Amino acid sequence: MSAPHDDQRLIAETLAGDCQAFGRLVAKYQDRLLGSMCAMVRNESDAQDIVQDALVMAFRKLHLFSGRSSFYTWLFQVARNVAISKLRSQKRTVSLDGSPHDSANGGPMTVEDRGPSPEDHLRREEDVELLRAALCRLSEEFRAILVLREMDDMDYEQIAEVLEIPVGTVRSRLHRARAQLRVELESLMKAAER
Amino acid sequence: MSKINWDELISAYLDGELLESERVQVEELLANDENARQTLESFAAQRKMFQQFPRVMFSAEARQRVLAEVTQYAARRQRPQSAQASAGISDGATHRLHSRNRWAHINWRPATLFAVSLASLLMVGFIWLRNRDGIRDPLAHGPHTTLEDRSEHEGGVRPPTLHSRSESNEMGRAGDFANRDGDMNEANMEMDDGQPRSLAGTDAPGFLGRGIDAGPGSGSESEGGGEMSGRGSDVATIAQGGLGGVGGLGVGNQGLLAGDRLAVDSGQRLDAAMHDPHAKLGGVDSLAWNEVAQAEQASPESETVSVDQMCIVVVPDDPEQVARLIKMLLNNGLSGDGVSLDGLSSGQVEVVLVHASPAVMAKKISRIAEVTEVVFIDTLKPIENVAEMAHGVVPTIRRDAHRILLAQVFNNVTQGQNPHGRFRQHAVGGRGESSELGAIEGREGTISDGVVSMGRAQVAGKPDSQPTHPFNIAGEQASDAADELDLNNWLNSLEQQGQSLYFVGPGHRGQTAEIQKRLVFGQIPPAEESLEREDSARRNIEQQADVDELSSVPQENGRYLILFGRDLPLEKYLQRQQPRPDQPATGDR
Repeated sequence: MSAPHDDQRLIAETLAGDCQAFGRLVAKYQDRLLGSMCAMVRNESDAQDIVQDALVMAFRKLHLFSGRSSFYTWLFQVARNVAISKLRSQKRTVSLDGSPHDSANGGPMTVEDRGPSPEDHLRREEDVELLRAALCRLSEEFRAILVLREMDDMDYEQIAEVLEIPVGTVRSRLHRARAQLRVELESLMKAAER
Repeated sequence: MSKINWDELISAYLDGELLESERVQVEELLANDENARQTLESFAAQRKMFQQFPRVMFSAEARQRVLAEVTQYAARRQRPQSAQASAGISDGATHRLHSRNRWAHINWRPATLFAVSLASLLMVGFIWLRNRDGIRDPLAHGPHTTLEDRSEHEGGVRPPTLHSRSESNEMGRAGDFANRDGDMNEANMEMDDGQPRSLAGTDAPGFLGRGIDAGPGSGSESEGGGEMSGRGSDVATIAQGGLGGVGGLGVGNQGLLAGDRLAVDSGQRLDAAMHDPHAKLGGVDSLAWNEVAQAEQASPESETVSVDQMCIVVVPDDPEQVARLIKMLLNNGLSGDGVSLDGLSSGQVEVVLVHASPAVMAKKISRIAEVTEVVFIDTLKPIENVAEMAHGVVPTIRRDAHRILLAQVFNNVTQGQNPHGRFRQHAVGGRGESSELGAIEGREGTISDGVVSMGRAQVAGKPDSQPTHPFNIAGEQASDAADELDLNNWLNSLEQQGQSLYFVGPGHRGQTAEIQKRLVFGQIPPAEESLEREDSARRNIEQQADVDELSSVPQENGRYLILFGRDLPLEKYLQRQQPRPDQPATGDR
């Protein structure tokens, strides 16, 4: 999947020195990328930082973008690397198991009010927190593949491109990620019931 | 078909990624199997949860910061643009590098292009010479001879020698491996050669693996000391590049790893590629995997060819972080009792590269008693990502990128106070297959019937016997210039202070993954489940005990762990245990 024409144009303009063109690329993908990164790390503050760093990095490395993949695919790769680096540098590799609600690190994410009842809203928040906690227990590669599939709605071929693995591996890994996520969700739910 | 495969199909069914025939099968299953329906429902429920994830907005403030930074960056870029354009190096990399070290001004791209061009010319000339001379053996008479001579002269590794026609034919296969991205005809010529030659040429591709992640009792291991400790291997690498890896020399992944196709691994049996013809790990293509797998299958008991260690290249994405870890290790008194690893005497200053199973790692980790954190440093990404990973530290992908980074690490550790450098390296194998690189005296290798067999490494137990290898941050041969790292002197000074320095890292992706899971992500699967994922050859009582020990390693306030390896985890093992998707289901769910 190659970059859409308008992306290609914006990239070309950016490379020609037009920072505003890059600004339009940012505007186009910033929220999507942030949403994905929010699922990759423990809080929105970190995700914002990662996206910010990733966008700057993308600008610097834009000349390396070949155009064979979509710009977002490439951008996600950059952001993922930034996220991994950040996780390491923050030495939170162990604390990933901790509560995602860490007020000292940006606080809980807020769920956009979509108009459901307060009960629904609460349940949804609980589900989200449960999911986030379960995701934190997964390996980074499992998180990544789940995010790409479930949040970015990428097909297996696109995922294979991002993760640089064969499509067959995407299928098996995704299955294992889901199986592991199921285990973690059940475990957390049991713990919550106690 | 096993249950897990049905679940995999159900997972893919949910995603609409099944073939029509598979879809029909799954729908039949779903109609008749309550468990299958539950599985589908649970996966669908997960999806629903994901859909409930909060919609977040990139803050306007952050957006402004991004735009301000890129604008500023672009402005900075304008100023030196003409100079940079002529130098041919990316501004991003340049900026980063200048901020990091003073060797950053070196322009890699033109150098690489030049190298590619030169190597290509050499290769063309070489082929012409071979044709003209009746296929003269390049490894025996070419640059490789230099390796052998120099290596022995410097007290380095003595390359094993092949003996039979079949061996040399297999050597051709080795050439095939090495030349995957180079000239296949060249490889074929070698196959047809039938002349005896040294295996050192074969091992030369193990450049990356050798230097950092020399495995237990392996060919690459035997070369490990050579790579880091002697110029010989560098010569070999150049020879290898000239022979085969040229095609990718300057273009990244394939070329980089093409030089690493033939490493020898004693312990790991990665035959998963037999089940995954599309396997491509770290630039090793499926054909290589298949050939390796066949070789391993043909002689499971011997040390056989494996691609496992070919992919090892140490490119820490944050040398400063590595440096900090090392500092911490040093500051926490890793000397004296309890830190002797695999026979290296305590208090002796060594850089220890450990290739070991998680179990063995656990033992080693448990001996590092004072440090307080576990940090996973993923050093192996697909090479295309190296530049990104390194965030500009590596301006151009180079064969010796790991060395450059190691030098940077050491430079950071020592805060630039070690102006002259030599580097001494040892590797310690795991599970009773220890080998101290500098002490390996060489071994005989045989190749027949598709199997490269290596004799067991002969460990003389004299680590000091290995040569030292000067280098500087640029990865160039050291001179007496003041900008070289005198790591050897530094290490010696540490030794005088009774301090030791250890690099600890498994070289095996499965091992790495296990440790990553257990220590880094805090996820400790049941030992039984874990063992199911292990290669059956490594499943034994001792390992069970060791895994238990690993599980007991504290995850918080634990220990520092510097892992050199890749994080492509148990994929291959798992795939091996599962039937191919195109195999008919047996209905054993």
